[in-house]
Amino acid sequence: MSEYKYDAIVIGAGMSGSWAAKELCEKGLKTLVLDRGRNVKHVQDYPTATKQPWEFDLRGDIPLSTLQENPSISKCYAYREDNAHFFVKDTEHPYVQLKPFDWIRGYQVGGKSLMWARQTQRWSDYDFAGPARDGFAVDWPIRYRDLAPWYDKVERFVGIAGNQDGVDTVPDGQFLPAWELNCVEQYFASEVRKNYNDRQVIFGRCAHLTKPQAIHIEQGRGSCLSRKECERGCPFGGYFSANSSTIPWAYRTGNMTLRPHAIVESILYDEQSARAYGVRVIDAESKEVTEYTADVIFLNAGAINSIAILQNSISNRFANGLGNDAGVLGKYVAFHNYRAKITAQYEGMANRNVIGQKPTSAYIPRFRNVYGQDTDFMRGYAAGFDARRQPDSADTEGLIGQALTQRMTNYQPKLSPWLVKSHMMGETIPKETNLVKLDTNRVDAWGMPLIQISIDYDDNDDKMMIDFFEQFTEMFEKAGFSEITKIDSQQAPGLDIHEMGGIRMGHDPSTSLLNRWNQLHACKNVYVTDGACMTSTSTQNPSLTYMALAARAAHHAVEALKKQDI
Amino acid sequence: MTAMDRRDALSSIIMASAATLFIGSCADDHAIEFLTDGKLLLDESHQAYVAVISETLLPVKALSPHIPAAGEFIVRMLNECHRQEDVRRFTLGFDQYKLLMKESRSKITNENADRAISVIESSLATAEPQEELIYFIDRIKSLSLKNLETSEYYLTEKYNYNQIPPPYEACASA
Repeated sequence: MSEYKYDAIVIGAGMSGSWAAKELCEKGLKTLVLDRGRNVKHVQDYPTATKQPWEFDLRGDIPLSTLQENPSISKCYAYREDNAHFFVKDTEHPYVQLKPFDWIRGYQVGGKSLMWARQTQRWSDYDFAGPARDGFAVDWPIRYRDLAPWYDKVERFVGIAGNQDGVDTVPDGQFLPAWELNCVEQYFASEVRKNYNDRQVIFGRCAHLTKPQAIHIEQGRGSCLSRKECERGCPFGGYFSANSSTIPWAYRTGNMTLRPHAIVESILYDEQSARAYGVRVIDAESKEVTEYTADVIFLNAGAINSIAILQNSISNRFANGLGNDAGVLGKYVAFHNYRAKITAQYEGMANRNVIGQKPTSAYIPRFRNVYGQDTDFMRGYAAGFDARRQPDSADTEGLIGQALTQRMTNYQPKLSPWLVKSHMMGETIPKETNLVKLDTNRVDAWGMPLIQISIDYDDNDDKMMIDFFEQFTEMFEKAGFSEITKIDSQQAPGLDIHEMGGIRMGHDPSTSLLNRWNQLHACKNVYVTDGACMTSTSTQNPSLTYMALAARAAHHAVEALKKQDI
Repeated sequence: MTAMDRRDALSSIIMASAATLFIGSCADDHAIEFLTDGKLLLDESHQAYVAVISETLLPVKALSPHIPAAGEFIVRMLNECHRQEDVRRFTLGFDQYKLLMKESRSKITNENADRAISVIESSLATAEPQEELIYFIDRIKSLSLKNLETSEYYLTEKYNYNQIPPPYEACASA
């Protein structure tokens, strides 16, 4: 096999692309994995992973110039002095905000799997059958039963901590032991159970190894130590990242060629065979252009970049972007509404506290409009919930000299009351007007058209947020919480980091781009299994579902190749 | 800045002056000359001067060797995490502080040498300290506190910080 010809090409070495790579390589396909960013090798490229807080020059603060130069990225909750090197610089990777949109990106091998929130709730048929039942978007061409075995497979390999909760909206799976909710989280769960029959508070399932199994040890990963410094990269492999798990696994097969610094300009289409035959790549450093060929191509560049690559893949057959017969490429993009938060205090359990920490929180699965339409808005929201006590710091006002030193050194920190908070994770409705397109005049440093993003909230999101505040105020009051404060962050879309859609799945080629196997309807040897493929957004964090879809699609591609069906 | 803050600042200036009144090494230089493109690049003697004020306001040297030098930290934080106009305010305040010391020193005679601090107090009483001087002393105090609070000594001794936390207990005694 030449340096330029492979069985398969995977565009993007992040969460879903690395799963496609692992599966294709395991099944014997010589696979080229392209990523536009640098390589990040597990452990050796985590420069801050074991640094102590006092070893950072700015002790956790971010330089003002960095904040000013990165107005979008620096809004991300996970962006800090200790891990800024895993986020793109806004100035180096410009895009056009037709409406405010904070696009959070990590351009490197591993992508955002290095800094993700690691929440892994399964989707259910309340999600996959949702659009058909509620009359929005298009019907998903799959149901939960199609994906369930792939969730099983992914969960076993990744390692998911969780409980068998028996909740309809977030099906149970293959879980490692969960952490126990802390005493106030347990108390709130019992109060909710006592006062409501339609909602539950459960442990938020997460991609952390609480009890590594043989498959995890084989990956070289160990137990999560609850350091909660995950976004620096975990040298123990305590949480799942492409870098600690799927990429090295694929590499070990001997079938993977990893090519970092490879910006995919377009997917190449052969008019005669009506198939894609390769990709054109711009080297991010030298800007040299190279073409690679393969029998099958997986597009996993991250939802918005995947859309842009198809839009930039122009041919006589596809003048408006590869596979875009329906004219919906880049449209019906949706996201999660994370604007609403609610905080309170709990004066009870003053003699209790937590020792150590857990890397996740409690989770309240969606309970609105689940079994029928019972509000004035469509769909619903899930919510995170956590409770903690914080030590205060010494009051130093008016003190100087030895008196100040003595105050600081003799001070015994007092614990706050329990501080509780919940944040809404709202499903948004995919709309034709929420879209991504290419700028026809401006290009980036590599000559690629700038990406224009026009995505916004709507009335449904506002109504949902009002309901969240009402419901959680009531739930908090019934639990005896005080000082209840409702916060609308008014943040722009994007900070949820869950942009989805634009290359959606569907039954009908006239309204969707991908079929039930994630193949382009009109170009069957191109598969899209990242966030772009999602028909609707559910309320659950989507990465687990991307991984399951990628594994399923890779299996399909291999079988189809064997049958010469693509 | 509130009135209370101003009173704090005056107290701080007076206390710091006890340690800096007779530092003559950089008395005639202007800190503003070390300000280039919004960055304050102090020479050794000025940095040492800032460190002396910091140690006077918050004496920590005797506490532990695991508390890094505050002078260098203060200047780094100013340059990296403060707006250019605030770095300039700090620098102007630094020069005002040094001028106050210089003028006070000139008023000290053999007769009033044992009451040097009161000379500064009367200088401050007759001339309202400028806003930059208050900002200067306030920044030194607050960044000195940050230097202590984020030090290995403080995080481990006071907050029992350990990079590998103890085993999780969901409901322990407070």
